[in-house]
Amino acid sequence: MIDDEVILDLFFERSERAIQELDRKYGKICRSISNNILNSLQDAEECVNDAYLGAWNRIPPARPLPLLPYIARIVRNISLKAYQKRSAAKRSSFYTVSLQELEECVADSGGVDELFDSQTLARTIEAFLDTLTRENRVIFIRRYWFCESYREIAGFVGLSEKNISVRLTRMRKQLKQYLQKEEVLI
Amino acid sequence: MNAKEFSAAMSDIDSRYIAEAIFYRKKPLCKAVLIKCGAAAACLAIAVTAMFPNLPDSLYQQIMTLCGHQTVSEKPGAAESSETSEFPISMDSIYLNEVREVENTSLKWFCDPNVYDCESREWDKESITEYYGRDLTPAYIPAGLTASPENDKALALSDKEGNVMMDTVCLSFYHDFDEDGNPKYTDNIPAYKGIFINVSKLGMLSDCIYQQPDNQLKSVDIGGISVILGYMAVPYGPYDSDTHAAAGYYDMYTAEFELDDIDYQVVFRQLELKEMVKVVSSIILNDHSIAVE
Repeated sequence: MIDDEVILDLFFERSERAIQELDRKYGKICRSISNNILNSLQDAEECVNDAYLGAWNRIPPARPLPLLPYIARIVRNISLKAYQKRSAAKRSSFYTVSLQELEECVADSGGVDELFDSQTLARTIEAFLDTLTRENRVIFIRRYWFCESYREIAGFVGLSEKNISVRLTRMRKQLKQYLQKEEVLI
Repeated sequence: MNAKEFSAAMSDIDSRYIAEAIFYRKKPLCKAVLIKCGAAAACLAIAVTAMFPNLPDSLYQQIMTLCGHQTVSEKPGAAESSETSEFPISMDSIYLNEVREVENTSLKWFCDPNVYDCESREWDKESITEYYGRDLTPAYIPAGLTASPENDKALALSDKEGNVMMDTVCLSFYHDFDEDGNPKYTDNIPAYKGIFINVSKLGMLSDCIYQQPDNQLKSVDIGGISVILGYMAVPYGPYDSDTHAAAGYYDMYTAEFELDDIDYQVVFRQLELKEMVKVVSSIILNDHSIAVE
């Protein structure tokens, strides 16, 4: 498989092969991330193509290594925007289910405190993630960032679906306590 | 805050977390397969699974049979088998802190002025389960051990307002009991053999005193729960009248952890370490068929 450095060199050379190689190496996981959010292969394909365009416009000057987390983030953001544009009736995906899970543990009486903008909240989430074991952190991210199903996560980390479910339940509880302690949740 | 705001903030977390989740390598394929079938079959199982990750179980079984290996009861990474849990615990990850002493400090609770004026109530199993929100009996108990007849009872103390002030429940599983319900010593070693479990939501447990300071204790992760494991070689008599040397030493293991706001303290005497790990894992995971290798 072609190296990320080589793909980035193609971007810098403004070669169309850059997109081809990017898709060959990471297209499958990008479409998977998008489909987990949108539950539509066609819509996922569109979002991934938009993400490639986004990467094309940013690289250069950006030279992100490793490349996959960078392109995965772009795909996720575009897919989330597409999800928000949908009517409530058309929102049905692993992402929807994961949102419902999170709602139970992060919802409080008010909106995000003005002191906690998205960036600050992200730092708080990172601090919470640092309290988890590596395996649990991976499970949490794959559920609430990649929006994967329990089955997919179980297969990836080598545990049973039941174990994944139990661990995520505990982590959501820990998350709630953490956010309360940090006074993010009122 | 709502879930959407949280999810939006998740988009801004550092890439290192994303990279970690992408490039994480899962545990080696279930070593329970190695135990059942031998290393050669397990290697074949791993190769087949790697090449054909979506192979139907029936076809997988046929391939294994054609290759002359004992059919495994589960494909590595497949759904839970009926015999053993798919959640193997690796003994390599077990770390034992050195225990100096397990001090029975339950009497101190009675000296607490907030406690000794309280009204006592005898809890039955239903009351215990209702208070703790779960059956406290471990899902796995090693063969040869019997539950104490006192396990279904506990003495709780409540103040005038009905608040529970003492809630310690003790469960024991020993190799033998006398007619009064007290555990008996083993024949060869004059010491108990079994498991003693203390639980409390109020932290009212015995003091497990370690050689290391608290901030140097190392814990192990079992099922997402941080567990502090301990070991002590316990002397037993008869003791030499001149040198006071013990006749011998038996193994005592301890486990302390918090699960669902319940503090657990488990003491194992004259049992194998692996059995302790299985019992503790079965409490945390509520699964009697934990594979430990």
